[in-house]
Amino acid sequence: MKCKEIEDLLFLYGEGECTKEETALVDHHLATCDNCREILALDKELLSTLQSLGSLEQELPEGFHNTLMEKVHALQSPIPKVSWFRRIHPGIYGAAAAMLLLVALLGSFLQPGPSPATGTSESAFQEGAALDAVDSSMAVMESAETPEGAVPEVAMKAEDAAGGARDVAPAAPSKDRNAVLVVVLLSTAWILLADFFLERRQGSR
Amino acid sequence: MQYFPIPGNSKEGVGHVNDLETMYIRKATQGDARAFEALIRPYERKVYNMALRMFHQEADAWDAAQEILLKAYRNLPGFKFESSFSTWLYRVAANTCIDLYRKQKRKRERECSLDQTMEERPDGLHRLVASKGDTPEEALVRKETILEVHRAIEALSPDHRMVIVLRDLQGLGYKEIADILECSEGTVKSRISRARESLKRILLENREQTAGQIVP
Ligand SMILES: [Zn+2]
Repeated sequence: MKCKEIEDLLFLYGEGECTKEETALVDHHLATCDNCREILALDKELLSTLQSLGSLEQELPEGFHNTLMEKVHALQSPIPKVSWFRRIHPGIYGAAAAMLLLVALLGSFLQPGPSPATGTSESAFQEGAALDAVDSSMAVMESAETPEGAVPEVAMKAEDAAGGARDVAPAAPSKDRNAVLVVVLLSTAWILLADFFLERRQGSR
Repeated sequence: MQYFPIPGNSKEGVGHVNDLETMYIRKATQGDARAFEALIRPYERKVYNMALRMFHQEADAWDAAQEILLKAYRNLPGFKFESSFSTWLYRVAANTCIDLYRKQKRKRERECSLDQTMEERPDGLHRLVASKGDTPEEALVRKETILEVHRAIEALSPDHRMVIVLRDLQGLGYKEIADILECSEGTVKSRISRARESLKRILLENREQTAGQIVP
Protein backbone atom coordinates (compact mmCIF):
# COMPACT_ATOMS: atom_id res chain seq x y z
CA MET A 1 0.00 0.00 0.00
CA LYS A 2 2.73 2.39 0.98
CA CYS A 3 4.87 1.23 -1.96
CA LYS A 4 2.11 2.03 -4.47
CA GLU A 5 1.87 5.62 -3.22
CA ILE A 6 5.63 6.00 -3.46
CA GLU A 7 5.76 4.44 -6.92
CA ASP A 8 3.42 7.10 -8.23
CA LEU A 9 5.93 9.74 -7.15
CA LEU A 10 9.08 8.08 -8.43
CA PHE A 11 9.17 9.65 -11.91
CA LEU A 12 8.70 13.12 -10.47
CA TYR A 13 11.27 12.32 -7.79
CA GLY A 14 13.67 11.08 -10.45
CA GLU A 15 13.49 14.36 -12.37
CA GLY A 16 13.53 16.50 -9.22
CA GLU A 17 9.93 17.75 -9.62
CA CYS A 18 8.61 16.57 -6.22
CA THR A 19 7.62 19.04 -3.51
CA LYS A 20 9.77 19.17 -0.34
CA GLU A 21 7.25 17.08 1.58
CA GLU A 22 7.03 14.47 -1.18
CA THR A 23 10.82 14.31 -1.45
CA ALA A 24 11.15 13.74 2.27
CA LEU A 25 8.52 11.02 2.12
CA VAL A 26 10.22 9.19 -0.76
CA ASP A 27 13.67 9.55 0.80
CA HIS A 28 12.39 8.03 4.00
CA HIS A 29 10.76 5.11 2.16
CA LEU A 30 13.70 4.37 -0.15
CA ALA A 31 16.02 4.03 2.84
CA THR A 32 14.22 0.79 3.75
CA CYS A 33 12.65 -0.51 0.47
CA ASP A 34 14.84 -2.30 -2.08
CA ASN A 35 11.92 -2.84 -4.42
CA CYS A 36 11.16 0.87 -4.82
CA ARG A 37 14.88 1.65 -5.22
CA GLU A 38 14.93 -0.77 -8.16
CA ILE A 39 11.87 0.83 -9.70
CA LEU A 40 13.46 4.24 -9.28
CA ALA A 41 16.57 3.03 -11.12
CA LEU A 42 14.38 1.76 -13.99
CA ASP A 43 12.39 5.00 -14.12
CA LYS A 44 15.55 7.07 -14.19
CA GLU A 45 16.88 4.94 -17.01
CA LEU A 46 13.70 5.48 -19.00
CA LEU A 47 13.84 9.23 -18.37
CA SER A 48 17.43 9.35 -19.53
CA THR A 49 16.63 7.36 -22.68
CA LEU A 50 13.73 9.70 -23.40
CA GLN A 51 16.10 12.62 -22.97
CA SER A 52 18.55 11.07 -25.44
CA LEU A 53 15.72 10.54 -27.86
CA GLY A 54 14.65 14.15 -27.35
CA SER A 55 18.17 15.42 -28.07
CA LEU A 56 18.05 13.78 -31.50
CA GLU A 57 16.50 16.69 -33.35
CA GLN A 58 16.23 16.32 -37.07
CA GLU A 59 17.05 19.07 -39.50
CA LEU A 60 14.19 20.75 -41.29
CA PRO A 61 13.78 18.87 -44.58
CA GLU A 62 14.96 20.58 -47.73
CA GLY A 63 12.29 22.72 -49.33
CA PHE A 64 10.11 22.77 -46.22
CA HIS A 65 10.45 26.47 -45.60
CA ASN A 66 9.97 27.49 -49.23
CA THR A 67 6.91 25.30 -49.62
CA LEU A 68 5.43 26.86 -46.51
CA MET A 69 6.10 30.42 -47.65
CA GLU A 70 4.56 29.71 -51.06
CA LYS A 71 1.40 28.61 -49.29
CA VAL A 72 1.49 31.68 -47.05
CA HIS A 73 1.80 33.97 -50.07
CA ALA A 74 -1.03 32.13 -51.79
CA LEU A 75 -3.20 32.68 -48.70
CA GLN A 76 -2.68 36.41 -48.90
CA SER A 77 -5.42 38.06 -50.93
CA PRO A 78 -3.88 41.30 -52.19
CA ILE A 79 -6.33 44.19 -52.48
CA PRO A 80 -6.67 44.70 -56.27
CA LYS A 81 -5.52 48.10 -57.48
CA VAL A 82 -8.51 49.73 -59.19
CA SER A 83 -9.02 53.23 -60.51
CA TRP A 84 -11.46 55.56 -58.83
CA PHE A 85 -13.66 55.08 -61.86
CA ARG A 86 -13.85 51.32 -61.49
CA ARG A 87 -14.52 51.66 -57.78
CA ILE A 88 -17.62 53.77 -58.33
CA HIS A 89 -18.50 51.66 -61.37
CA PRO A 90 -21.68 50.04 -59.97
CA GLY A 91 -22.96 53.48 -58.95
CA ILE A 92 -22.37 54.84 -62.44
CA TYR A 93 -24.49 52.14 -64.00
CA GLY A 94 -27.31 52.77 -61.55
CA ALA A 95 -27.19 56.54 -62.05
CA ALA A 96 -27.03 56.19 -65.82
CA ALA A 97 -30.00 53.86 -65.90
CA ALA A 98 -32.01 56.19 -63.66
CA MET A 99 -31.11 59.17 -65.81
CA LEU A 100 -32.07 57.41 -69.03
CA LEU A 101 -35.41 56.45 -67.58
CA LEU A 102 -36.07 59.99 -66.38
CA VAL A 103 -35.11 61.50 -69.73
CA ALA A 104 -37.24 59.00 -71.62
CA LEU A 105 -40.21 59.86 -69.42
CA LEU A 106 -39.67 63.61 -69.71
CA GLY A 107 -39.21 63.28 -73.44
CA SER A 108 -42.58 61.63 -73.88
CA PHE A 109 -44.29 64.24 -71.65
CA LEU A 110 -42.73 67.24 -73.37
CA GLN A 111 -43.72 66.09 -76.84
CA PRO A 112 -47.47 65.82 -77.03
CA GLY A 113 -48.82 64.05 -80.09
CA PRO A 114 -47.17 61.34 -82.17
CA SER A 115 -43.66 62.21 -83.22
CA PRO A 116 -42.90 61.62 -86.91
CA ALA A 117 -40.45 58.86 -86.15
CA THR A 118 -40.95 57.28 -89.58
CA GLY A 119 -40.09 60.45 -91.50
CA THR A 120 -36.98 60.39 -93.70
CA SER A 121 -36.47 64.17 -93.97
CA GLU A 122 -33.88 65.86 -91.79
CA SER A 123 -36.40 67.82 -89.78
CA ALA A 124 -38.40 64.72 -89.01
CA PHE A 125 -35.29 63.02 -87.82
CA GLN A 126 -34.39 66.01 -85.68
CA GLU A 127 -37.79 66.20 -84.09
CA GLY A 128 -37.51 62.61 -83.04
CA ALA A 129 -33.92 63.10 -81.92
CA ALA A 130 -34.67 62.79 -78.22
CA LEU A 131 -36.46 59.49 -78.61
CA ASP A 132 -33.86 58.21 -81.05
CA ALA A 133 -31.13 59.18 -78.65
CA VAL A 134 -32.89 57.22 -75.95
CA ASP A 135 -32.97 54.25 -78.28
CA SER A 136 -29.34 54.57 -79.19
CA SER A 137 -28.35 54.87 -75.55
CA MET A 138 -30.26 51.72 -74.85
CA ALA A 139 -28.39 50.19 -77.74
CA VAL A 140 -25.13 51.27 -76.14
CA MET A 141 -26.08 49.51 -72.95
CA GLU A 142 -26.97 46.39 -74.87
CA SER A 143 -23.79 46.66 -76.86
CA ALA A 144 -21.85 45.70 -73.76
CA GLU A 145 -22.52 42.15 -74.87
CA THR A 146 -22.15 42.63 -78.62
CA PRO A 147 -18.88 42.31 -80.51
CA GLU A 148 -16.51 45.24 -80.73
CA GLY A 149 -17.49 46.27 -84.25
CA ALA A 150 -21.01 47.21 -83.24
CA VAL A 151 -19.97 49.83 -80.74
CA PRO A 152 -18.46 52.59 -82.93
CA GLU A 153 -21.51 52.49 -85.18
CA VAL A 154 -23.78 53.20 -82.27
CA ALA A 155 -21.48 55.93 -81.05
CA MET A 156 -21.51 57.63 -84.45
CA LYS A 157 -25.27 57.42 -84.66
CA ALA A 158 -25.49 59.05 -81.26
CA GLU A 159 -23.11 61.80 -82.34
CA ASP A 160 -25.18 62.48 -85.48
CA ALA A 161 -28.25 62.77 -83.33
CA ALA A 162 -26.49 65.22 -81.04
CA GLY A 163 -25.31 67.32 -83.98
CA GLY A 164 -28.80 67.38 -85.41
CA ALA A 165 -30.30 68.38 -82.11
CA ARG A 166 -27.85 71.23 -81.62
CA ASP A 167 -28.58 72.65 -85.11
CA VAL A 168 -32.26 72.76 -84.36
CA ALA A 169 -31.95 74.04 -80.81
CA PRO A 170 -32.66 77.80 -81.39
CA ALA A 171 -35.77 77.10 -83.51
CA ALA A 172 -38.30 76.47 -80.73
CA PRO A 173 -38.39 76.43 -76.90
CA SER A 174 -39.61 72.82 -76.78
CA LYS A 175 -36.81 71.78 -79.14
CA ASP A 176 -34.35 73.70 -76.96
CA ARG A 177 -35.43 71.63 -73.98
CA ASN A 178 -35.09 68.52 -76.09
CA ALA A 179 -31.53 69.45 -76.97
CA VAL A 180 -30.57 69.83 -73.30
CA LEU A 181 -32.02 66.41 -72.60
CA VAL A 182 -30.12 64.93 -75.52
CA VAL A 183 -26.86 66.41 -74.29
CA VAL A 184 -27.44 64.95 -70.83
CA LEU A 185 -28.32 61.65 -72.42
CA LEU A 186 -25.23 61.62 -74.60
CA SER A 187 -22.94 62.39 -71.69
CA THR A 188 -24.42 59.41 -69.94
CA ALA A 189 -23.94 57.27 -73.02
CA TRP A 190 -20.31 58.39 -73.26
CA ILE A 191 -19.64 57.55 -69.62
CA LEU A 192 -21.09 54.11 -70.19
CA LEU A 193 -19.04 53.64 -73.34
CA ALA A 194 -15.83 54.84 -71.70
CA ASP A 195 -16.44 52.52 -68.77
CA PHE A 196 -17.11 49.65 -71.13
CA PHE A 197 -13.82 50.09 -72.95
CA LEU A 198 -11.90 50.65 -69.74
CA GLU A 199 -13.25 47.41 -68.40
CA ARG A 200 -12.29 45.55 -71.58
CA ARG A 201 -8.78 46.90 -71.44
CA GLN A 202 -8.29 45.89 -67.80
CA GLY A 203 -9.97 42.58 -68.33
CA SER A 204 -7.70 41.62 -71.23
CA ARG A 205 -4.57 42.13 -69.11
CA MET B 1 30.16 36.43 -14.17
CA GLN B 2 28.55 36.37 -17.57
CA TYR B 3 30.29 38.46 -20.19
CA PHE B 4 28.19 37.38 -23.13
CA PRO B 5 24.58 37.11 -22.04
CA ILE B 6 22.78 34.49 -24.07
CA PRO B 7 19.57 35.95 -25.50
CA GLY B 8 16.69 34.46 -23.56
CA ASN B 9 18.80 33.84 -20.47
CA SER B 10 19.19 37.39 -19.28
CA LYS B 11 16.30 39.76 -18.66
CA GLU B 12 17.71 42.13 -21.25
CA GLY B 13 17.88 39.36 -23.83
CA VAL B 14 14.29 38.28 -23.23
CA GLY B 15 13.05 41.83 -23.56
CA HIS B 16 14.94 42.37 -26.77
CA VAL B 17 13.77 39.13 -28.36
CA ASN B 18 10.18 39.76 -27.31
CA ASP B 19 10.16 43.33 -28.61
CA LEU B 20 11.26 42.13 -32.00
CA GLU B 21 8.82 39.24 -31.87
CA THR B 22 5.96 41.55 -30.89
CA MET B 23 6.72 43.73 -33.89
CA TYR B 24 6.77 40.71 -36.19
CA ILE B 25 3.48 39.48 -34.75
CA ARG B 26 1.77 42.84 -35.26
CA LYS B 27 2.98 43.10 -38.84
CA ALA B 28 2.21 39.48 -39.66
CA THR B 29 -1.31 39.91 -38.25
CA GLN B 30 -1.86 42.58 -40.90
CA GLY B 31 -0.86 40.08 -43.58
CA ASP B 32 2.86 40.85 -43.86
CA ALA B 33 4.26 37.53 -45.05
CA ARG B 34 7.87 38.61 -44.55
CA ALA B 35 7.21 39.46 -40.92
CA PHE B 36 5.57 36.06 -40.49
CA GLU B 37 8.60 34.42 -42.04
CA ALA B 38 10.91 36.13 -39.55
CA LEU B 39 8.53 35.29 -36.71
CA ILE B 40 8.40 31.54 -37.29
CA ARG B 41 12.00 30.97 -38.41
CA PRO B 42 13.24 30.13 -34.88
CA TYR B 43 10.33 27.72 -34.27
CA GLU B 44 10.03 25.87 -37.57
CA ARG B 45 12.44 23.11 -36.68
CA LYS B 46 10.85 22.60 -33.26
CA VAL B 47 7.41 22.34 -34.83
CA TYR B 48 8.65 19.87 -37.44
CA ASN B 49 10.33 17.70 -34.82
CA MET B 50 7.26 17.74 -32.64
CA ALA B 51 5.14 16.61 -35.60
CA LEU B 52 7.70 13.91 -36.36
CA ARG B 53 7.50 12.69 -32.78
CA MET B 54 3.73 12.58 -32.95
CA PHE B 55 3.46 10.89 -36.35
CA HIS B 56 6.83 9.10 -36.70
CA GLN B 57 6.69 9.22 -40.50
CA GLU B 58 8.51 11.98 -42.31
CA ALA B 59 5.78 12.52 -44.92
CA ASP B 60 3.09 12.83 -42.24
CA ALA B 61 5.31 15.09 -40.15
CA TRP B 62 5.87 17.34 -43.17
CA ASP B 63 2.13 17.67 -43.81
CA ALA B 64 1.34 18.18 -40.13
CA ALA B 65 4.06 20.80 -39.63
CA GLN B 66 2.96 22.69 -42.75
CA GLU B 67 -0.62 22.69 -41.54
CA ILE B 68 0.40 23.83 -38.05
CA LEU B 69 2.37 26.80 -39.36
CA LEU B 70 -0.26 27.79 -41.91
CA LYS B 71 -2.89 27.63 -39.20
CA ALA B 72 -0.66 29.83 -37.07
CA TYR B 73 -0.57 32.36 -39.91
CA ARG B 74 -4.33 32.30 -40.40
CA ASN B 75 -5.13 32.38 -36.69
CA LEU B 76 -2.50 34.95 -35.72
CA PRO B 77 -5.15 37.69 -35.26
CA GLY B 78 -6.48 35.48 -32.46
CA PHE B 79 -3.19 35.76 -30.57
CA LYS B 80 -3.83 38.31 -27.83
CA PHE B 81 -0.44 38.30 -26.06
CA GLU B 82 -1.95 36.48 -23.08
CA SER B 83 0.85 33.91 -23.23
CA SER B 84 4.21 33.78 -24.94
CA PHE B 85 4.07 33.27 -28.70
CA SER B 86 5.92 29.98 -28.23
CA THR B 87 3.19 28.67 -25.90
CA TRP B 88 0.48 29.77 -28.31
CA LEU B 89 2.25 28.14 -31.26
CA TYR B 90 2.65 24.90 -29.29
CA ARG B 91 -1.08 25.03 -28.54
CA VAL B 92 -1.88 25.35 -32.24
CA ALA B 93 0.54 22.47 -32.85
CA ALA B 94 -0.96 20.24 -30.17
CA ASN B 95 -4.54 20.81 -31.35
CA THR B 96 -3.64 20.30 -34.99
CA CYS B 97 -1.72 17.10 -34.23
CA ILE B 98 -4.61 15.63 -32.26
CA ASP B 99 -7.09 16.56 -35.03
CA LEU B 100 -4.88 15.06 -37.72
CA TYR B 101 -4.27 11.99 -35.63
CA ARG B 102 -8.03 11.37 -35.34
CA LYS B 103 -8.54 11.89 -39.06
CA GLN B 104 -5.68 9.53 -39.81
CA LYS B 105 -7.08 6.93 -37.46
CA ARG B 106 -10.51 7.07 -39.10
CA LYS B 107 -8.90 6.76 -42.52
CA ARG B 108 -6.84 3.80 -41.36
CA GLU B 109 -9.88 2.09 -39.93
CA ARG B 110 -11.69 2.55 -43.24
CA GLU B 111 -8.78 1.10 -45.16
CA CYS B 112 -8.26 -1.74 -42.65
CA SER B 113 -4.52 -1.63 -43.22
CA LEU B 114 -3.34 -1.95 -39.64
CA ASP B 115 -0.49 -4.29 -40.60
CA GLN B 116 0.95 -1.68 -42.88
CA THR B 117 0.98 1.00 -40.22
CA MET B 118 2.62 -1.23 -37.62
CA GLU B 119 5.37 -2.21 -39.98
CA GLU B 120 8.82 -0.74 -39.41
CA ARG B 121 9.45 2.19 -41.67
CA PRO B 122 12.84 3.74 -42.11
CA ASP B 123 13.03 7.27 -40.80
CA GLY B 124 15.75 9.74 -40.01
CA LEU B 125 15.97 8.55 -36.42
CA HIS B 126 18.03 5.49 -37.36
CA ARG B 127 20.62 7.68 -39.03
CA LEU B 128 20.73 10.04 -36.06
CA VAL B 129 21.07 7.30 -33.43
CA ALA B 130 23.88 5.67 -35.35
CA SER B 131 25.83 8.89 -35.63
CA LYS B 132 26.39 9.31 -31.87
CA GLY B 133 29.94 8.53 -30.79
CA ASP B 134 30.21 5.72 -28.19
CA THR B 135 32.20 2.49 -28.21
CA PRO B 136 30.63 0.09 -30.73
CA GLU B 137 29.05 -2.06 -27.98
CA GLU B 138 27.71 0.93 -26.06
CA ALA B 139 26.42 2.46 -29.26
CA LEU B 140 24.57 -0.73 -30.15
CA VAL B 141 22.90 -1.05 -26.75
CA ARG B 142 22.05 2.62 -26.69
CA LYS B 143 20.69 2.53 -30.20
CA GLU B 144 18.55 -0.50 -29.43
CA THR B 145 17.20 1.10 -26.26
CA ILE B 146 16.41 4.39 -27.95
CA LEU B 147 14.65 2.71 -30.87
CA GLU B 148 12.78 0.50 -28.44
CA VAL B 149 11.46 3.55 -26.58
CA HIS B 150 10.71 5.24 -29.89
CA ARG B 151 8.54 2.29 -30.96
CA ALA B 152 6.83 2.13 -27.56
CA ILE B 153 5.84 5.81 -27.85
CA GLU B 154 4.10 4.97 -31.11
CA ALA B 155 1.86 2.55 -29.23
CA LEU B 156 0.69 5.20 -26.72
CA SER B 157 -2.70 6.87 -26.93
CA PRO B 158 -2.49 10.28 -28.62
CA ASP B 159 -3.11 12.15 -25.37
CA HIS B 160 -0.35 10.25 -23.59
CA ARG B 161 1.94 10.56 -26.57
CA MET B 162 1.35 14.31 -26.62
CA VAL B 163 2.44 14.89 -23.01
CA ILE B 164 5.46 12.59 -23.38
CA VAL B 165 6.47 14.49 -26.51
CA LEU B 166 6.01 17.88 -24.85
CA ARG B 167 7.67 17.01 -21.55
CA ASP B 168 10.28 14.35 -22.26
CA LEU B 169 11.19 14.94 -25.89
CA GLN B 170 10.64 18.67 -26.40
CA GLY B 171 11.80 19.25 -22.81
CA LEU B 172 9.09 21.75 -21.80
CA GLY B 173 8.31 22.57 -18.17
CA TYR B 174 5.13 21.48 -16.38
CA LYS B 175 3.87 25.05 -16.13
CA GLU B 176 4.28 25.66 -19.85
CA ILE B 177 2.60 22.36 -20.75
CA ALA B 178 -0.31 23.33 -18.50
CA ASP B 179 -0.58 26.63 -20.42
CA ILE B 180 -0.39 24.87 -23.77
CA LEU B 181 -3.04 22.31 -22.93
CA GLU B 182 -5.07 24.86 -20.97
CA CYS B 183 -5.37 22.78 -17.82
CA SER B 184 -3.89 22.85 -14.31
CA GLU B 185 -0.33 21.88 -13.50
CA GLY B 186 -1.68 19.12 -11.26
CA THR B 187 -3.61 17.63 -14.17
CA VAL B 188 -0.50 17.76 -16.34
CA LYS B 189 1.61 16.07 -13.67
CA SER B 190 -0.80 13.20 -13.18
CA ARG B 191 -1.33 12.79 -16.93
CA ILE B 192 2.42 12.65 -17.53
CA SER B 193 2.86 10.15 -14.71
CA ARG B 194 0.16 7.92 -16.20
CA ALA B 195 1.66 8.29 -19.67
CA ARG B 196 5.09 7.22 -18.40
CA GLU B 197 3.63 4.26 -16.51
CA SER B 198 1.85 3.27 -19.69
CA LEU B 199 5.08 3.64 -21.67
CA LYS B 200 6.92 1.48 -19.15
CA ARG B 201 4.26 -1.21 -19.42
CA ILE B 202 4.47 -1.23 -23.23
CA LEU B 203 8.28 -1.45 -23.06
CA LEU B 204 8.16 -4.38 -20.65
CA GLU B 205 5.56 -6.18 -22.78
CA ASN B 206 7.64 -5.66 -25.91
CA ARG B 207 10.75 -6.94 -24.10
CA GLU B 208 8.95 -10.04 -22.91
CA GLN B 209 7.73 -10.70 -26.44
CA THR B 210 11.22 -10.29 -27.88
CA ALA B 211 12.73 -12.48 -25.16
CA GLY B 212 10.09 -15.13 -25.88
CA GLN B 213 11.04 -15.08 -29.54
CA ILE B 214 14.76 -15.47 -28.91
CA VAL B 215 14.53 -18.18 -26.26
CA PRO B 216 11.98 -20.80 -27.33
ZN1 LIG C 1 8.54 0.41 -1.57
